[in-house]
Amino acid sequence: MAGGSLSGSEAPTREGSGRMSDNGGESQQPAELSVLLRAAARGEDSAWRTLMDLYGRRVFALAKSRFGRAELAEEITQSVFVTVATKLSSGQYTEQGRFEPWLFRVTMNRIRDEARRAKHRAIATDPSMLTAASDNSGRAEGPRRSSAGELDRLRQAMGHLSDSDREMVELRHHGGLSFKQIADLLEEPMGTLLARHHRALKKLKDLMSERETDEAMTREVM
Amino acid sequence: MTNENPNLPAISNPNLRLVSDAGDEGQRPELAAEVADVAAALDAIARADRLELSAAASARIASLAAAEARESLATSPISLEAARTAQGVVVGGKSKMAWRLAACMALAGGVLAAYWSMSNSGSGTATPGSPTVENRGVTTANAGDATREAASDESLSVQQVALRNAVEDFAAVSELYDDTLSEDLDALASESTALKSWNASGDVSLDGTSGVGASRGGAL
Repeated sequence: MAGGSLSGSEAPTREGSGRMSDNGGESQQPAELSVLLRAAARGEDSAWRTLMDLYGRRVFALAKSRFGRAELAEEITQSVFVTVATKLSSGQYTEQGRFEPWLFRVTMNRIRDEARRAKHRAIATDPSMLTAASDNSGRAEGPRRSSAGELDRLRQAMGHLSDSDREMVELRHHGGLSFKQIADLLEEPMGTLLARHHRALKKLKDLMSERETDEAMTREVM
Repeated sequence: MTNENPNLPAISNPNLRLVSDAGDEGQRPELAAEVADVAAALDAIARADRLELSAAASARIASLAAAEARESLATSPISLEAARTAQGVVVGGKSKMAWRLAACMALAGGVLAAYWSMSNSGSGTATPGSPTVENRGVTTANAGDATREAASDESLSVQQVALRNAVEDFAAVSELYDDTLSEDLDALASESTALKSWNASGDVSLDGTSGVGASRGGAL
């Protein structure tokens, strides 16, 4: 798995550099985070810029993966951080070294709400559309499977996971949470979570293989 | 099935990954390797998705969140405990934040506990818990002239005017006073049943010789 571990004294990495918390949620929360959150609760712009730098893209990626639409993901990200701002400033969240799991709990709740509300609008996750995109990509680049085609197939396969498995996979890979944090967040035993994660990835792999076979057969017929 | 690591308990279910305190490292290497390519592809997708949030959008959201935090801090019902959390320390001294938080509490309806404890402690400290003020009792007789006149002009009780004055003082000290707050205060003064019940049961007073009440020209 990608992503390096951080020691407790290291500052959190910026987004895009892999998993931030491979050694567990509480232990890697820097002391500076408490200071940062207090500044954020007071409404200091610089504190919020830092929080966005640290977590904004991960929240965004989680929403983007689920809905496939950047503008909706941005809207959800905004909603999440505004909610966090309200709760921080009104004292509804008390920092006890669990900010990151809490942030992603807020994010998941927001995503679930949106999924319930706008299921019919999640056009980009429509498998038929993704299939079309994948097919086009495949034809344009020849028989050899392109990286882009692979990723398309993977995005498509994600749509076939159960909601709970998809949520777990997205928390892990898009949210960048450690398994321990996810286990806490989903209130699941670690062993169960690891087994479920493995099964989910295995299913994704199988689905991608099936899709690849289908595409190859389609090309032969044509 | 046995574990390679003698420090870990034996497990009988081959689907279970070995779990250690290290978290992610609890995954069994051979099973992790089985899906490593998928995991890597998922990470690649995640990286690509993350980059789709522009710097401009990120800055805009940060700015919005900061504004929301300030707004929430200024207007939300705030408990003393919450105030302590937001401040990060026990609210004490005469810092602007302490006054500001006190004003927020006042607007939220926790007015009296905060005000009395602050005005009588002489230290500007908002102390959690019930007020322990000895000298209470805003009455028409002991209210200042300005308070009585305002009450008469605005058809309010002296207690209501005293309350409003107190909150205005907090707001002025914390530089939070603005039109919105003024409107809130008017609404509070006219609608405050809490003060009436407080006065009926507690014989509330302000010490007009010290604290913020003094700026209103003597005992309120």
